[in-house]
Amino acid sequence: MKEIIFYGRGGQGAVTASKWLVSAAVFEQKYAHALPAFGQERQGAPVYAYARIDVQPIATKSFVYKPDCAVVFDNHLPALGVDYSAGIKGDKILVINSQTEIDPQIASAFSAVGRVDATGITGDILGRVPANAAMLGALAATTNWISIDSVILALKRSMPGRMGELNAKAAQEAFSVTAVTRSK
Amino acid sequence: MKMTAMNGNDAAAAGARMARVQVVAAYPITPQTPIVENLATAIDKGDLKANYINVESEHSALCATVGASLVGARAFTATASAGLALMHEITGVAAGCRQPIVMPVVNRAIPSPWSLWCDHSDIMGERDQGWIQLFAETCQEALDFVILSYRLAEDKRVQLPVMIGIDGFFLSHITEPVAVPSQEQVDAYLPPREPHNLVLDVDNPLAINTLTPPGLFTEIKYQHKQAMENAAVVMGKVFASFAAAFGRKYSVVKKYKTEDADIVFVAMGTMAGTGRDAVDALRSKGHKVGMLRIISFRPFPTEAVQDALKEAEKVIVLDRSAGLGSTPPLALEVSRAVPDKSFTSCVAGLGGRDVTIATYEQALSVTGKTGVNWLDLKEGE
Repeated sequence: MKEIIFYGRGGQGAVTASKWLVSAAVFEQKYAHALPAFGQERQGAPVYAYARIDVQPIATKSFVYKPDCAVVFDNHLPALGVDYSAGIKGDKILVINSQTEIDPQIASAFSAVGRVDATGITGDILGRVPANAAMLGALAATTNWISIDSVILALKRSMPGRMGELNAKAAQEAFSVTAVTRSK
Repeated sequence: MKMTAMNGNDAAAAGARMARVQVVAAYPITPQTPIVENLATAIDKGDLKANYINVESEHSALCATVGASLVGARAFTATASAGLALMHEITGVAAGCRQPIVMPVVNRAIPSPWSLWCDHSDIMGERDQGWIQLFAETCQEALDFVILSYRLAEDKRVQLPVMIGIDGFFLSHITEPVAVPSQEQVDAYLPPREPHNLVLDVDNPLAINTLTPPGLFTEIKYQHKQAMENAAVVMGKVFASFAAAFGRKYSVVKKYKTEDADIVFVAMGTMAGTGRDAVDALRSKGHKVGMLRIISFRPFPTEAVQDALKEAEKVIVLDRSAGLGSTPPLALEVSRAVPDKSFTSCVAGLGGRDVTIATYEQALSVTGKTGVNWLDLKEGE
C-alpha cells in the first residue's frame, strides 16, 4: 500500500486532485481512497487530503501520518507553519509545485523529488484555475504508482468536453516536464 | 460490475435515487449537506421523479417526511448532529406511526463544545426511539444500506423507520470505489411501496397519532416492540435476498479473526475497518486478537454477538460516544450480551479525533481495567 498526503491551500484543488487519483486507480482495477481533513474552510488556509492506493481492499479509514509521498501544491506552505516533511522516513517521495529549486535541506529528507511548475503550465493552458490536474501529472511522473493514461481518463470523465481536454493537456505537459531528482 | 469513485454522501444519495424515493424533505447541515444537494439537483434536472420539499428546520423536515410517508410515498430525509436533536420529537412520531422512512444520519458530535466532526453522540440520543439503526463502514454500504433499508422498513411485519449511521467525514467525505448497480437490478429488488395500516386517504378518512388513553398506550407500544423483534428476523432475510440480487453479503455483525482470538475488540462504523488492520498489526506482534463490528445496533443482535464472542476470553468495546454518567452505549449492550467475559470499556474518537491502529494498541494496553477508559487522552488539557 502507498500512502500519500496532499498539502495545499484552500482553493488550490488538492482535495479534488485526491479524488481524481481514486478515479484513476479505479481504471487500473486498483483499490484507493481519498480522505480530506476538513476544518472551517476558507480560501488560502492550509488544506490536507490523505490518499491510499493498494492492490487489495483498504480497511483502514484514518488519516495518513507516515506518507510514502508528499504532494505539495504551494512551496510557501512552510511559511504558514506546514512541515511537509513530517512523518517522512526512509525511501519517500516529494512532488512539489515550484518555479524554483527546493531548499536542499528539505529535499534531502526525500529519496526522490519531482519538481514541476504546475501553476505556470496550468496558466499557459487553462488560465487562472487550480493547478491540480498538472500536479497529478507530476505525481504520475515521479512515483509511477499511477499511469498518466489513467490520470487523463479520470480528468476527462470528471469534466466532459473542453475543460476535460485542457486539464488532460495540463496533466500530460506536467508529466513530460517534471524534473525528477533521485538521491538514493 | 462497473466501479465508480464516489464519497459516502454521494453513495447514500445514489441509493436514494435508485430506490426511487418519491419525496425528499431535508434541511442541510454539515457534513450531511451534499446528500440533499445531490438529490435536490437530481430532482431539479428531472433525473429523479420526486418532490423536494423545502423546509425551515430539521423538525419540519421530518414532519414533512412523515406526512409524505403517511399518504403512501417512499420518503427520504437525512441529517446530522444538532439537526437530529431538533428532530427528536418527530423521530418518536415517525417510529410510533410505523412509517418506513429511511434517514442517513451523518454522524457528528452533539454540541457542546461545538464541533463539525464525527462521533456517535447524535445517533445515540435516538437509540430508544424505536427506529432500526444500522452503521455503515464503507461507501458501498452507504449505497447498499439505503436500498436494502427500504425493503426492510416497508416489510409488512416490520413497518419501522431506519437510520443509517454514516461517520461524518471519515465516511461521508471519503472517496472510494463503489460498485453501482443498474436501475433494473434495483427495481427488481425493490418494487414500489405498498402502504399498510396507517394510510392517509381523503376517501377513507382516518385520524392518526391521536390522544391515546392509558388503556391502549401500552398495547400499541407492545406492537412496536414486536415489530422490532420482527425486524431482527426480516433483516436476515433482507440481507440474504440482497446477496442473491447483488452478490454482496451483509449480516448484523461482521467478524474478523474472532474464531481463535483470546481478545476481541468491538466497535461500529469506520473505526471497525481500522480495527481489522489493527488486528493484523497486533497479531504480527503475537497478540491473538480479533475484531467484531456491530452493523445493526437496533435491533441489537444479542445472539450473534454471543456467538461471535463465545471463544474469546476478553472483550474490549470501543465506543465513539462518551456515555456520561454510566457505561457508554455499545459497552452496555455488549456487556449485557456476554456478562461472564472479562470486559473492558473504552471511549475513543470523540469530536473527530482520529482512531488509528495506535488507538487499538492503547485499548489493548488497558485490558481488564475497570471503569471507562478514555483513549488518546491528552493529560493536563
